[in-house]
Amino acid sequence: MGNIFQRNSHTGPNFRIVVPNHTVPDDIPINKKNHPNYGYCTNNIKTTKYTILTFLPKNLFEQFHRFANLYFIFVVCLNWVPEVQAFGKEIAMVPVVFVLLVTAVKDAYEDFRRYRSDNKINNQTCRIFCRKEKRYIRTIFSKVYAGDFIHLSCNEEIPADILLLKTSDSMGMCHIETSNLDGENNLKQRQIISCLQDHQEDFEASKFTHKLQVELPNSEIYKFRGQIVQENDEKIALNYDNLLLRGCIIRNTDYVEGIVIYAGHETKAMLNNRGPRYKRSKLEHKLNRDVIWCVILLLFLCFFCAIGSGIWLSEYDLVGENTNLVPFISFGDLDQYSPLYQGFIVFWTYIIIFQAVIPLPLYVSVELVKLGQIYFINQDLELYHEESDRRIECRALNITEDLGQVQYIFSDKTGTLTENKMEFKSCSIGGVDYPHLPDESDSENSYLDSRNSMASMSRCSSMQENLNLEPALQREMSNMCLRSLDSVELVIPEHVKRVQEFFLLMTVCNTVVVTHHEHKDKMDASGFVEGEDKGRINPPVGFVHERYRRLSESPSSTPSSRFRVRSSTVSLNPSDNCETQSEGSISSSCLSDVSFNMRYEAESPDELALVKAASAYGCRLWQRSPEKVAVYLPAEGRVDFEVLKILQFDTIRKRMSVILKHPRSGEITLYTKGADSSILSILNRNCRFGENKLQKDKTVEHLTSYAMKGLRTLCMAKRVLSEKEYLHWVKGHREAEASIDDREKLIMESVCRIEYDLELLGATGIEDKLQEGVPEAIATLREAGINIWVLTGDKQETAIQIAYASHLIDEKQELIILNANNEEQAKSLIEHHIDQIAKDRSNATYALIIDGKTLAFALHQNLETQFLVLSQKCNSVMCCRATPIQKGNVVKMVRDHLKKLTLAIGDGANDVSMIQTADIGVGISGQEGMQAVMSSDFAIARFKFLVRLLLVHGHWSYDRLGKFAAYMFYKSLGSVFVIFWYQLFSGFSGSLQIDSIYLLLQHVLFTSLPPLINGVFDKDIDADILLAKPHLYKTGIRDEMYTQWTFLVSTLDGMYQSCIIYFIPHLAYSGHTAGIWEMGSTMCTCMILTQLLHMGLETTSWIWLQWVTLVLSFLFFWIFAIISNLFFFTWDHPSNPYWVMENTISQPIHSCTVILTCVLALLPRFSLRALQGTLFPSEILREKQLNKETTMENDPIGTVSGIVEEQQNGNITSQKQNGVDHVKIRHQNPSFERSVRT
Amino acid sequence: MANSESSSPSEEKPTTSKRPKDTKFKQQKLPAWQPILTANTVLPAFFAIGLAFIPLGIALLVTSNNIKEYVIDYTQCNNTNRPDETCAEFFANSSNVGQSCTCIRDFQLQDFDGTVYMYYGLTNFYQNHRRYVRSRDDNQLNGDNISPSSLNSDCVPYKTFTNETGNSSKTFGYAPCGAIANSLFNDSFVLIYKGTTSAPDNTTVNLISTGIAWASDKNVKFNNPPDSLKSMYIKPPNWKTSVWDLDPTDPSNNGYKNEDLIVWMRTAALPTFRKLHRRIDHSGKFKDGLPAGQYSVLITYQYPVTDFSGTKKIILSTTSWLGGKNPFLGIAYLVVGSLCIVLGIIFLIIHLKCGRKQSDMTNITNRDVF
Repeated sequence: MGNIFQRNSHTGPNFRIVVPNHTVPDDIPINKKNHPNYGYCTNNIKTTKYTILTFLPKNLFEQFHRFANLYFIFVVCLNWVPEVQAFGKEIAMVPVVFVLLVTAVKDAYEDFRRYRSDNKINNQTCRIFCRKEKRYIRTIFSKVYAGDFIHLSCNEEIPADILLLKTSDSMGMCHIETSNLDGENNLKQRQIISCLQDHQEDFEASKFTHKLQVELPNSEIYKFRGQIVQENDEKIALNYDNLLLRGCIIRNTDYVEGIVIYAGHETKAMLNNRGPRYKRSKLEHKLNRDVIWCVILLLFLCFFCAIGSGIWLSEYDLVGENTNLVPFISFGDLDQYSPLYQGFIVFWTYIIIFQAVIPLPLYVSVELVKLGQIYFINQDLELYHEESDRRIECRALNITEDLGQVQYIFSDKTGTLTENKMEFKSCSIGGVDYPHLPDESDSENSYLDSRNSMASMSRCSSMQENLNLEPALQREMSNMCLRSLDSVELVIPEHVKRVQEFFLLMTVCNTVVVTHHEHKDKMDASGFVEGEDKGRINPPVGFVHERYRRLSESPSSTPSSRFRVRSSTVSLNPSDNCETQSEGSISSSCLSDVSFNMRYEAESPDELALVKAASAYGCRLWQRSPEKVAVYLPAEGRVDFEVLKILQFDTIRKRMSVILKHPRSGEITLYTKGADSSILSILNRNCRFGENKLQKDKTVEHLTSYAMKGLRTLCMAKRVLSEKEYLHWVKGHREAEASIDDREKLIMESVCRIEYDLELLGATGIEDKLQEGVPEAIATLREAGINIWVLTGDKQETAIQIAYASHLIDEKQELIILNANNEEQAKSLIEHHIDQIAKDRSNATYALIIDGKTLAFALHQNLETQFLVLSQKCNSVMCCRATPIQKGNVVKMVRDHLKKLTLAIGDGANDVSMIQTADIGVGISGQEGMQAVMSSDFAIARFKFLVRLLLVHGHWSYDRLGKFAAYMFYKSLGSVFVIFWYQLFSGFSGSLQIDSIYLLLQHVLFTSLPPLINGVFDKDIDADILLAKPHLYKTGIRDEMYTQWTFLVSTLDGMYQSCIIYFIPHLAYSGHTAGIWEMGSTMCTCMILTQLLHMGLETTSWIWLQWVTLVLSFLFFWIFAIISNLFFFTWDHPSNPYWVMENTISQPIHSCTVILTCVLALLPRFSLRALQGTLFPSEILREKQLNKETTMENDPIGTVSGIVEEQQNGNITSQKQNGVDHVKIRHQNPSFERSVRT
Repeated sequence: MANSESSSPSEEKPTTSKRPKDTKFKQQKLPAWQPILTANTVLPAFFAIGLAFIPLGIALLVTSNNIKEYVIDYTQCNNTNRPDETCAEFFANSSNVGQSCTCIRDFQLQDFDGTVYMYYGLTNFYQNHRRYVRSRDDNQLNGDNISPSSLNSDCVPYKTFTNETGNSSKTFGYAPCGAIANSLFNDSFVLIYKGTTSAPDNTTVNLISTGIAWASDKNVKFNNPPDSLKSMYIKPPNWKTSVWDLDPTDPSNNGYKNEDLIVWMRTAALPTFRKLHRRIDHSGKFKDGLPAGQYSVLITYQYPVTDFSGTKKIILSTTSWLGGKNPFLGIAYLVVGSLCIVLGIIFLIIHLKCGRKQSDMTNITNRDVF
């Protein structure tokens, strides 16, 4: 450590120095202090909490942080005070130790899983430069140190934070995908250090000997500062652009080399990695409330008995001289006779005796139940997505029951409700609409095709399949050549020119990257360079080899690959063996002799769709480099345009531009594409007059109609720049780029200086198809009583259309649209609508649509309440143009003010704030990377899975846990009261009639398993019925399973049963010679049998497991009692139960008492359940009976054909309820797709 | 390349797929029995329970009624030496503590057929008091070789006794230690058959003092220690004799193995309790039980109970498979059985009146709505 301080002293506190390891002599290992890179983290990742040595102390320490555990430890300690002692000292520890043990085993297992995943990561391999062998050799991740040189091939994961020094690219560029880190899976460019660019070709690791001065590790992903210190003390600045971050994936580059700067836990990815979130469910809050009631009850019981003890004692006149007169009260010391003192002592004894009022195993068993539930949710085939090979992923382990009580769902649109697969659908050029109508036969095909392509996850040329080329456009495009793009060329009609320019813009104005070949690294996984060495060792077959092979596969054709890029292979040769080859839709013949494979990799799916559409018309992006862009023109072939500048997209401008230089005329043109609002506002003045105005109006009209169809719209515009103007601007822009303060602001201003006065070319409409099953899912969820809010960044018209298509809004609903420009307006609008709705006498339902601007006002404190009032009156709410922060705020508002359970579902980084704010966050593991999934509690592959997750698993989990908790309270209260009644007959002395072994083991062994099994397996109703009758979900929303009465009823039932369990044996055994332990054994048998049978009464669906555990639990108690009583031991003072059980059960009175007690104890619950089932069954019970009757009626005969048919379809026959017939909807799938599009 | 490989992953898929296994267990589709509790499904259960319980109740009641039992409360029994004074009053005088008082109770018996047992009963005696129950040392009673100091501390204040003579003191342990042993019931009875008025008699009924404790207790739990220990122990303060002299006539019934002690040491469950005291020797005249006639019991009254307002009883009782005379179980069975029948009838009515099928009910509501 001293070393670091020394270095720090002269480099400033915020920096540290990394030296290339090969410059350090071999005899200094990295773990020695004199190694310059000593003390930096190794690349070994360790996310485990414990080691084998620290497990016990650390785990115990953590467990003792829980209040309940502390309480029970306190009780155990109390039992060691001789005066107070109630149980045997050692056996009193059994339950606590057992619970601690179970928890410890659970923790150990979870930690072991982390250990295994760490191991897996640590044992991945990469290639490290070895000084001795002067080449790269294969090394596992954990052996990578700061200062090492690394060689990485395309598609490999980056093992540490690396300074980029060499790439295969001649310009020193490489692309990385950062989806593991920030969720954005567009490709990001990284650049090697500027000074090395010129020596790129002959760069060699061994020659790089400079020291690096870098800032200390921090978690800021988008910031990095450092310097290369050269021998002559010249410093070269390093920045974020030179850094490859751990967890990212190399894309689109054959190979890269670099030096490790931060490793292991010092990498930015690891510093950003937060642990799992701990959430507490709604039910758990209620449990905590009832545990407090238990504490109050405990104190009351203890006080009551303590006072009773005092009174009982004071009845005996013990202050006399002879203390022997009352033989059963024996005190050595006269002082102890004071009733007050004895009351005080006995109070603590009762704390020990009645400890079970607070159910000790409740918390750990609730956790076990949830683990079991999660296991089965995870195993559900219906939540498994075949195409992406993804199961549901449960990341939060303790909120399963919350899934059964969701009342508000906040959903993202793009990628959540939709596929996030963009398809070019229409364009409008120069005021002429080219709608690209699909013909009927084709749409069927396209439906099938899209399913097929989904199935193989191959996006190979799927574009062309679905795009029906517009003949007019094809005609105009066919003769596109450089000459026609020349603005001074007059022969070509204006409109044709515009069309061609429009397509040129589509082709060049983007950041799509083209690759023509597989990225192939000459170096293999072991670090040998192909064709270079002779005596190469075969790499061990197995993991590494396998992995490497997988990595080298083409990403676009590997369904199971972890690495998927948004890319597509454009096959031009019809004879190409691409299996999903287009059906001859490419008409351009001039290029048909060229056979090649081309892949586009794009930042956004929209861009990809545009480039592919242009490509379909023959205007093909061929190659892109920072300086030039090569394009194939239909009538000319390859043409290189010089790119003068690319003005990147940002969310404020909402547009991007490129500035090109025409290769023939040298004309400089600015091409801009962007959101309609951001383009239309910067058009030139011409468009206000004459033909241009007509054109613009037409285009706007088309834009609106596209939006009405649910298409995403983009506007295209251009501007011809004079050389002078450009040079002037570029000078200013360079200054802006070079500035240090306010750089971004200055650049933005500079960009806006050139992006104005544009000439409108046209607009495009891109379709984002609804995910399969979304309309049905939304309809079902709404029927289940869940309010669905859609929060989207899209424009209002698009959003409304999607809302209709996805059944979020139906035709019967009245739309309330809130668009306001200021707070006043927003306020009056909201108030107006509230009034209107209040006045409305008709049964109309409403849908609220609000845009981002108005939402900002509505979320303001002044308006919040009114907005909520209004939104509560509406069945559906749609927020358009919402920013990520606003999404989070909306969720927060509903969660905090309405106190309802909220669920947020989204797929992108922009949904993270919403997902984290909501009670339950669900991530869609779809196209947009892992960010949403990483912050979610549950990750599913498709939106429609939400229905089963909530309606079936949520309902079951909630029902099971509610019953489980009620049973746990009932059980502990019942057991305690059996002892309490005995106090009335034993002078409130804290005497126990039941052997303390039974009492202590009862809750952890004898009666623990059946409720656990029920908590995981019991089904109050079948999944089919739950799905067919969504309204059953409302039981969860209304909190019906665990109400404030549940606890009371459990308490009362427990007390009643304890009365029976105590008094029947009491009365039966009076007049009998039975001793305390005989009566106690009988009572204990009654108690355990009653409690197990009670569990049986509460079981609604018996599978063999429940039978077995129930019977085994009782047998276990019984055999345990018999066997333990066969042995003589004295440590169970005072009961010494030798032969007690045998003597007890040998007397008929025992069995007679047990049978009578159990029957009488369970009679009320049994009768009430039967009464309830007949006279006022719950909704669930009613559906269940209905189902049973219909199956009973139809199963054996099957005469009614309709019912039989429906059963074959896997649906439950039922009357049409609530106006929605699910059978119908399920068969509507294909037609839905069509209706959405038209 | 891309295309040639596109087919291979589909072949590899089964090995790497995350697809959950389609087993009935994992998909939670195991065959299940789903009972629904409604009036008509529970009807048979109610009638079955009722029909089973009522005969059983009758049997229990008859059995209990057939048991003959005679209870003699002798708490306020008169001192035979001073007829104007009860034995209780005799012991209230503190100078008489430790002495004994005798008294006689005469009574008439019906025929007691079969085996007859003699019990003693105490009321208001909290043998189930926590401190009392704990106040014993099972290792000592098991005959383990333990020193007085290592006796169970729960025996305090009847654990050890320190004899201070001059400046030397010696600590003895109590044998057996603890409050239970110290308060051993020590009244003794002689039962005399006086015959009937027509045929006077004066035969002492032989009472057997063995075979009254559990065999398991007598054989395993209670054992006499090696003789070497005896010098370290003294008798409990309330006792008249040492534990080694409890039954000098029968070595197998002496010391810790004395059955009176064993019975007493098995603490009672409730403050009112009875314990088996003696078996009637059914030989000779009493072969078939106790014949009807005049009886008299001679009581050696030593055990004070009035200080805690308790009472003492002698109980003579025949026995049955059920144990002692207690009609409670029989009555309870009859009540619960009848209750089930009544509930069964109620549910039958409910079923006939309201137990329509759900499908019918839903149809009706549907018709109402539309």
